[in-house]
Amino acid sequence: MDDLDLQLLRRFRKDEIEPPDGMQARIEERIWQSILDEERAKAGAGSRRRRRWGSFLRPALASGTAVLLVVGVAMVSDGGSTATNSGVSSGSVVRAGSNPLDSTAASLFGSNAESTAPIVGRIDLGHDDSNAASLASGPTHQASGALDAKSTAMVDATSRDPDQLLDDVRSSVHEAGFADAHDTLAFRAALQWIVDPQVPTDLRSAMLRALAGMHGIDEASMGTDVIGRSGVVLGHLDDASGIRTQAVLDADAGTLRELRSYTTSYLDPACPPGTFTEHALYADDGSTVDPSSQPFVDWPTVVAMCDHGTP
Amino acid sequence: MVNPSTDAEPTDAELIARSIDEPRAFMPLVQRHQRVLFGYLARRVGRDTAEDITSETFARAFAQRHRFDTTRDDARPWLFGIATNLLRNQARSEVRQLRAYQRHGVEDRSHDDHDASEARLDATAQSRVLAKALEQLKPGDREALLMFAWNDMSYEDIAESLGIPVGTVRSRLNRARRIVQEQLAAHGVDATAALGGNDPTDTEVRSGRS
Repeated sequence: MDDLDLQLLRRFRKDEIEPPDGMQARIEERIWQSILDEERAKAGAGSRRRRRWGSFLRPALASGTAVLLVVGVAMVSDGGSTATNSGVSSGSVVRAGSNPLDSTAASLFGSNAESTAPIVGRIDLGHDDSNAASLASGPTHQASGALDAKSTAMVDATSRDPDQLLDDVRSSVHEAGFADAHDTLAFRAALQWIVDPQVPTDLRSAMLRALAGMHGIDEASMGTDVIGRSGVVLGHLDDASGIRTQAVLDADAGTLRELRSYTTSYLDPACPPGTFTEHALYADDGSTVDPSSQPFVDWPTVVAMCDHGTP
Repeated sequence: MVNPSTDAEPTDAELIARSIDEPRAFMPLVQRHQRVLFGYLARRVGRDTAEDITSETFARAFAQRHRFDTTRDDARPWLFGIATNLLRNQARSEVRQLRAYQRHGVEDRSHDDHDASEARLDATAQSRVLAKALEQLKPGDREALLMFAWNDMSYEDIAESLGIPVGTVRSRLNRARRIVQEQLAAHGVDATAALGGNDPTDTEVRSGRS
C-alpha cells in the first residue's frame, strides 16, 4: 500500500472542488471584457484608418454641386451578407473600408434637375417627430408626395455649406433632446434628406458632403443589398455601442434601397457580433420588400432587443 | 471564432493560436479548464481566494497568450504555471489554513449514512495529520506533490508548470512523499483504517506515475 499517502491526499479537501454558483459566468464575463477591450482597440486602429478615408471623402465631396463618389467596386461585394446571425468578425468592418479608391466612379447626384423618383424608405429616428419641423426630423410631405409647406420653407432656409449644415444637423438633434456624441442620430437625420427625391438635389448633395464630416463615417462605396442589387453604401459605426449602420442607395436616384444595422462587438450572450438590430429593404417603387417574396435569400433575422445603441 | 463545422475539438494550442487574430477564440479554453483549475486552487487556499485566482489566471493567460508554446497541445501546464505564480502571493494564507486544519480537521463528507460517525472521525484525524505534513513541506515540494496528487499531472507537465527540470520534480516528489508517509506512520494511520471507506476513484492506476 505504497500509495496510501497519495490516496489520502486525493481525499483531502475534496469537498472544496465544486465551483460556486455563478463562478463560470463571472469569470467568463471578465474574460469577455478583456476580449472586447482588445477588439475595440483593434477596431479603433481600423477606425483611424477609416477616418483617413473620411478625410479623403470630404474634399472630394466639397469639390462641386455635382457630387462624385469615388467608390471601390469589389470591397463590399458581400454587402448583403456582411453580417450574419452566426456572427461576423470585426475585421469585416475594417475590410469594408479598405482599398476604397481604386477603380470605379459613380455619380450619385448628377444634376440639379428635380427628381420624379418615388420616395423610397424612411429612416426612423426613434422618437416622435410628427409635429417637428427640423433637420433632425427630416422632410415631411403633402398627400401628393411633394414637400409640405414646413419642409419647403426649411429647404429654402437651410445652408448648403457642408460645415454649416453639419453644425445645423447636430444642433437639431441636440434640440430634439438627444446627446449624440457619436453622430449616430445625425447620420440618420442626414440620410433622411439625402434619400428623399423631393428634396432639391443641391441640398441632398450638400447633406452628403456634410455627412462625410461626421464621426464614425467609415464607408462610402459600391456594394449590394441583401437581394444583390448594387448601390452606393454609406456606413456609420457607433464606437460606443459597436452598432454599425449601412444604407444602400440607388446609385442613380440616390433613393434608399436597404437600411441595415448590426452589432460589431460582443454586447451580451444574446447579441454576438453580427446580430442584426434593424433591417429594411425597399423596392424601386417605394414599397417594402416582403421577405417571403425572396425565398432563396439569406434574409437577416432582426433581434430588436440587441439595439442598445440607438438612443 | 471556433469553427463549429469541424468534427474534432480544437486543441488548446489551436484555440490559442487562433485567438491571436480572433480574441474570442480564447473563450472555449476558459470553459474547458476553469473547473479543474478552481478545484485545485480551492483545495489549496479556499474557495473565495480560488475564484479570484482562477479569474486572474485566465485574464493573464489571455493577455500573455502570444507567449504560449503552440507546439504543446495541452494548455493545462501553462495555466497551472500562471496560477502557481499567483498562489505564491497567498503562501501565508495557505499555511494559515493548514494550521487551522491541524487544530480542527477537515470535515469529510465522503463517509455518510451507516458508517458515518466512526469513519468521519478517522477522516478528520487523518486530515489533521495530512495538514501538518503539508505545512512541513517546502513550498516547492508542496506544489509538486499537490499537482501530482490532485491534478493527474505527469512529471513533465509539472516541470513545465513550475519551470524546473523533470529531475527536480522527481526529487521534490520523493522528498515530499517521504515526509507525508513519515507523518502518517508516526500518527498510526495505516491502510486499513485510512482506506476503510475507500473512494474507488482514488485507486485508479495512472500511466506515467511514479
